[in-house]
Amino acid sequence: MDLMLWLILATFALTGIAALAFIWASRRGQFNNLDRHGLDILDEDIQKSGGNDEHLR
Amino acid sequence: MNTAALPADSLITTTIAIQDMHCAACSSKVSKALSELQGIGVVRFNPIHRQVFIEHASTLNPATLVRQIERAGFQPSLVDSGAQRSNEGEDLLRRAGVSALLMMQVMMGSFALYAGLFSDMETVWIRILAYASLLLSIPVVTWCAVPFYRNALQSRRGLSMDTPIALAIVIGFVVSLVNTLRGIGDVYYDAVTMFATIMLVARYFDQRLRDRLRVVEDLQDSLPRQVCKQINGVLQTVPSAAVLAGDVLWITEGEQLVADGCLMGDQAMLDEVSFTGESEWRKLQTGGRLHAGTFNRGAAFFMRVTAGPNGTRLAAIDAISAHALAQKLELSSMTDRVAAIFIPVILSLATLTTVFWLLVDPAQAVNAGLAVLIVSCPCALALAVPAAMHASLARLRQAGILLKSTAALERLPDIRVICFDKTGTLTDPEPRLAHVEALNQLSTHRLCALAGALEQHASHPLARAFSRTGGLAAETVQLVPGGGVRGRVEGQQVTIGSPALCGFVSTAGGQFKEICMTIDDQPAARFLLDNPLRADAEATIRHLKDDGFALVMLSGDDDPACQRIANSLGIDYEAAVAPEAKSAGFTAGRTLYVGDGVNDLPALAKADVSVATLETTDLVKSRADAILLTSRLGAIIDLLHAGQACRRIIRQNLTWAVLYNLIAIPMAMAGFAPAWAAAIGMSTSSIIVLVNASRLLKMPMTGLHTELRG
Repeated sequence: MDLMLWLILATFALTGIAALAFIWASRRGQFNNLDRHGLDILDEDIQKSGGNDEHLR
Repeated sequence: MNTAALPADSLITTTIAIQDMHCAACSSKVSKALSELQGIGVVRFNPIHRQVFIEHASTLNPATLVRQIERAGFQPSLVDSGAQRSNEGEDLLRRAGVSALLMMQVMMGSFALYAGLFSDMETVWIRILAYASLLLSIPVVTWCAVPFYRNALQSRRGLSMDTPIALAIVIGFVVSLVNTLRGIGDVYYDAVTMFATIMLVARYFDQRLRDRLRVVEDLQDSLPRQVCKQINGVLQTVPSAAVLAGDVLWITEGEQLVADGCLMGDQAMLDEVSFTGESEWRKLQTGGRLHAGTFNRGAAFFMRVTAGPNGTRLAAIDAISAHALAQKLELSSMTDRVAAIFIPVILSLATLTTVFWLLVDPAQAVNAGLAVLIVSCPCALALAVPAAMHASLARLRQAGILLKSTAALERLPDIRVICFDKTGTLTDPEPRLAHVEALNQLSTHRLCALAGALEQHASHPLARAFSRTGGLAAETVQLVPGGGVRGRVEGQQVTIGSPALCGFVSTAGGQFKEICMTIDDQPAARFLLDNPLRADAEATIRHLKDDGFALVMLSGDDDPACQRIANSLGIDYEAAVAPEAKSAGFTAGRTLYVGDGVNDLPALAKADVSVATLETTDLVKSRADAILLTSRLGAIIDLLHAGQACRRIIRQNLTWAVLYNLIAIPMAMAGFAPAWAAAIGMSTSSIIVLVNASRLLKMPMTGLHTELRG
């Protein structure tokens, strides 16, 4: 039965990590422009700069 | 562009909406045009919302960016990029996401608890699971749901829809907390967290919709931020806000005026289309009145300012409309009215139940009273109205109508009177070539080809009437300010312009504008132009009349011009109406106004529902309830139909919510409302309401049919 207690604690930890990851991602602007990446494939003359996925011109 | 050369702290981001940017090729054209400017950083696109996000040096005026995109052949408009707006949406997303994560864990515990109810779970485990759910719910109640508490407390109109939402969350949590600590009674953590999550997600989509529709809100934002001012004989660039009466400004070609004043030079050519809807430019002599918001289409000139940016006629018109808009916001919406009846009833029923059980069986009293509050399901009620409204808005968007506020949708079914502006609304904003009179032996076809070859070099609005497909090319083209165009076409010297320029005696009167052409200084042709009715104006008017609407045309033009249009359409009219007087005859609660000019702003604001046409300026669009994204006037029929359909669905949804409560509340009052029943009832009634609202996504629209056939 001790195992159940550990599982509940693990739930807390995982939920906490997921919530923090989500907040971090949204602060980084991950959800600002969700339609863009799907359409990038149609764009021909775009130079990708390393690491950052912004379009530099 | 070299971004590294720009200091990071001086970069600002401007968002520009480009209606006609459809594909990747368009966006690369836009970015190429922008890269020609100095001080451009990262340029990002959102092709779905047709927006471009431009990072640029703060010294660069956003108006310059707009002009540059315009030059590339697009129709850009500045979007308010206030930092606060995106923060609100992001904040809601964060709260909704965290709430959803926690809800899932609470649900997991609840399922174990429900299973435990029907088997023989040890009491200690039931308590442990209850405490676990309690801990997981605390962040939802104390952080995620805070926007609802804030709105409920701040609501100026007493009870708003946020009040029952906040009450349900707080009460549900407190009951569960008390029962958890007591170790007896039901807990509702699952219902509370699910409710909070659904409402937060709904709020997030609501906010996103509002963000997308927010265009230039501030009058000053729609004008240039800098002007060229003469100080001690020297021209200097100063901020527009610093302009005072008595200043002398230098207005370059194509510049937009920021202040009222009078002309100091000999002559000027002003484009007042945004003001009056009149597409023809106005010629001014020395001392002529200049208005802020108009454009200089002739040579550069000096002007003496009579009123600074805050005292202009544009500002006065805007102030009237802003005042009327503020009054409109004060009217309570349907959801708020429902909440105002619903909440007191529920609260008194809960009290009644508690008192009753105190007398009969005190042990049951607290539980039964609280069960009433939980079971009464504000969820279906809170969703009933917004779900129907958002479905209607989505459908209208497909049909080419952008409705900006749900409040306008509520007022639509009450509309009985429809008022139209004339120029640019009922009539086509583009001029049409009505008649060609040949003065030599050339064919009209040949004459039009010659005119088209020259006029494609002119930016005058009347030039758009001539087709550019004649296949002829003009050389040594020379623009004659205020008059016309001169150039060589196939070896002949052709001049086209006003009768005065060509040495003609003007013969046209009334509805026609006259343009004359000479070939090698010999009279060649006379072109008569007019502004015809929009293609579907007649059909739309007939349709609206059959539906029993009263139709009125309100125009600032003089009588004969109005009479001709009104008679051909068979509607009432009022001529020579001043902008401020247009709204005088409006019936409160029943008037819809369709307009396109700055002179329509007061009427647009006063009308219960206001519609701006496609071809108008950002300022007018920002002040109207709805914007037509199509040049079809028939979209108004769709708009009115959508209003009626939406009201019907809302009535059905509310009826369902009330029926549900009529069954659920007596059960709760009788003391039979276990936690699992409350959770199932809540989600089922919400789903029924959502499915019913989704029927609006399929309502028939005339615009969609014609587009498919065409």
